[in-house]
Amino acid sequence: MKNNMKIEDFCRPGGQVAEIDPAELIPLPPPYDKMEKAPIRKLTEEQRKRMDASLDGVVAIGLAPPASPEEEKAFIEKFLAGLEKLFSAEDNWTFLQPLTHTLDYCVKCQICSDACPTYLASGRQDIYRPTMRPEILRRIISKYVKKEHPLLRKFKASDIDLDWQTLARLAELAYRCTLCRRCAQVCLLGCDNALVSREIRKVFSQQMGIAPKELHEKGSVQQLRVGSSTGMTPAALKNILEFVEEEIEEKTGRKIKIPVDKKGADMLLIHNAGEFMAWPENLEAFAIILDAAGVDWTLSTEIAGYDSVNYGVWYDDVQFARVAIRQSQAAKSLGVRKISLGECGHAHKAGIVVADRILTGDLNIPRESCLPLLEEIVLSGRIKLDPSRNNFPVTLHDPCNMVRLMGIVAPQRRILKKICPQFREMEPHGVENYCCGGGSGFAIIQSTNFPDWRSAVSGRMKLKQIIEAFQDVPEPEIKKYVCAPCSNCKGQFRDMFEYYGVWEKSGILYGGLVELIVNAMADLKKPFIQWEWH
Amino acid sequence: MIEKHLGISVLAILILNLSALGIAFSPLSFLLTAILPYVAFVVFIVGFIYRIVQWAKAPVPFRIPTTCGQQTSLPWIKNNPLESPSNVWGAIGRMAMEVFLFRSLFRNTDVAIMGKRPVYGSAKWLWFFGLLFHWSLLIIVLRHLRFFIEPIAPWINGLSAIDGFFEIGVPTLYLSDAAVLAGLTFLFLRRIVVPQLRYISLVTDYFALVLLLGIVTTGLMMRHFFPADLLQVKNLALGWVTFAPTVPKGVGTVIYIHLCFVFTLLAWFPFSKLMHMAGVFLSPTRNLANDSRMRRHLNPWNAPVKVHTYEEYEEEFREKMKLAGLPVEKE
Repeated sequence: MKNNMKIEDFCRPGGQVAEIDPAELIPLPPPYDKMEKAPIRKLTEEQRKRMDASLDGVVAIGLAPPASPEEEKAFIEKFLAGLEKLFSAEDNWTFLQPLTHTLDYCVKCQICSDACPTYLASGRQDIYRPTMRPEILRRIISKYVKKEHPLLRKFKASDIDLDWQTLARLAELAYRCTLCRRCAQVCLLGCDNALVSREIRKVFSQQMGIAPKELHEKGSVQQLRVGSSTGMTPAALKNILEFVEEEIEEKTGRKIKIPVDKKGADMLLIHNAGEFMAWPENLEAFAIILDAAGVDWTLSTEIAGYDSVNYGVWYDDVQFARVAIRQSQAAKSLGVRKISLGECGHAHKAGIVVADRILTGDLNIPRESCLPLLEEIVLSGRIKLDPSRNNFPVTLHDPCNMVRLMGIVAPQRRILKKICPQFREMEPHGVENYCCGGGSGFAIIQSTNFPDWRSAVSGRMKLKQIIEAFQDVPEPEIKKYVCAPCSNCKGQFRDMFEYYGVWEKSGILYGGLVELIVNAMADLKKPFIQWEWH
Repeated sequence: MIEKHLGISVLAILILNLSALGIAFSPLSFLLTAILPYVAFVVFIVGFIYRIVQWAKAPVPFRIPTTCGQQTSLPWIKNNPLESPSNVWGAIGRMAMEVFLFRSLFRNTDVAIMGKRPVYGSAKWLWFFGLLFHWSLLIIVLRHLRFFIEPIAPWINGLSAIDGFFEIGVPTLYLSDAAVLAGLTFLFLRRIVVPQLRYISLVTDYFALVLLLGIVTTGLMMRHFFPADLLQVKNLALGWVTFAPTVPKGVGTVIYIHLCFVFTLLAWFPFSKLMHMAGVFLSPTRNLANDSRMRRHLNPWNAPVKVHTYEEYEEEFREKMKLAGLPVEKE
């Protein structure tokens, strides 16, 4: 335990609170136990001057130091004003109750720490404990919001001094938790420490305009302006769909017209826009399955109507509401009976669970996950499937939002058990799975050395699980498949597999669920999954 | 750090101890026997209710339970009604498992790095001793009701009889007394022995444990080593209940310490993390049914929003818009 960090250290001026030691990281199975490069790149002197990295030497936001004491004072006051709003029912009706519960009576048994993949993988860096953020927040509240008597604070040892440095570290620390809520699941009192990370982000974003640019400017703001968080406009979408139709014909010989803006269709399918840019085979597979099963479906070309992402769910209530409403408006203008969400975890949480109270009147169009629909298609025998076409080792990754948050556990397993003869579970799995390490937007945050951190630390447990699930077939010549029905998780796997050279060393490919279904379709001439495009 | 935090809490207990003794041997002893009981009890009840009202007033806009199993979905997909309840009965069942059996704590695993690989072990010790402590504390509190009720209700006698079933020693050692001591000792040692836990523990974490240990020890002392006159104690307790507090005689000094600790606990309770006793029932991650996909959850507190549509807007400003050269939909 050489990393013992005290909360007092958190407020210490200058220097770094925690140092990630490569030797302390949780060991990976061979051949990943010997990595030549340093796990996390060091920032240059110039970068360090420009961006604050005094938490752990990693930068997700990279706040610039204040130019003057007045600026620093204004910064602190703004934060405290936001904090006060966080605890009023008028300003924070969304998450006030779970927030106060968590802060009020956590008994600090610390049992949740061992449930946290980031804390474990980092070699138990105290700074990453799920209880760390709530404890810091509790102290700030005790001193600056509740204004408790100094003697009482002394007795509770809850003193803290706020300065720019402390807040900059807190802002960064809020982006070291993937919001996977594994800690909340094991809490004996139901405290939700992950939510505290999200609420801290909310104060920084809603009150101070501070958020990683991938989530805000290039994320939800761009989505509301041009139509999708990837910057893809409706015109570009049409181009891509033409390309997708050609690809489908080339791969399967089928001529499929992807329905676009079809009025009165039964179901509007919304994909994560990342699929259009990075994984068009996912769209192709959806189109092939829905076409073969005779589902009456359509895509939309309205702003946000073709992009299921709603980054607000990770950092900002206002952006969240704006996007949710635009998505529902797109469905309303088409007059569809329901919205089906494609393979995207956070869109499930955002669209199905959280949007419930925002969509009023006729905007409240039923929203469903694509997984039960796919299960129904596969298990009912509506399309002819030949499992022997998927005769390679397959394991399943459970996206936290679908599985732990919503409890969609069985459909994807029933599908895989039917179509993949070599399906095996990783340990632990189902509702007790580990996060991919890219949760809550990490997979898209590309700031300086942050991608290194999420490959080396937050995704480490997942990589270990995947390698161990295939430990009976470690040879790279044997092609293996990790099924991850979530765009964000796939983004994390793409970066992490590249970082460790997983394809070269172990021959593991990642991809969605629908690709496996299409690959098993009996009447296709050639396999759908193209291993060479790893 | 640990020395400091633990030290402060032990010091606080010692101060309480001494003040209890000081009061006991001074003419002010009526403070402890006649005034403080009411003060502590009122603070406890009012504070307790205040905290609950504060929590209950906070809105719960949507369902955010933590699900630990398959939720209710298509009819042929087997759901898990207790781990992911879809109705109020399931939520009650889940809460019962949580409160009576500490289900979530049981779920925990421990991860140890052995050699070069992580090994998942069981973390059931905390569950076992935690459960032991809470159950025995409940039984002890219930047993104490015999001081406040005359005639003693048969179920209290029954409970005491079962608790002292093995008839070890004279007077009989209650199993719950031994269990509560074991539970508390485990919880206390865990905080001191586990380094990761020790350095993050604060004064209030130790204080709760040391205070409870103090109450239990003084209680055991009175029963087994320095017997208090039970009749006098009962008169004292009945005096409180009937609002005619008496000054007891011949009850020994230990009881003053015991009482002082109990009143401290009562008064401190509503402001401490011990409020988890009430909070666990209100915890939205546990007490909500996971029915987001089945039911619409209407927002009960929002007033209807007055909407100013574009048509109305244009109606109002049409002339001005025309003058400013802005396009209008209707002429």
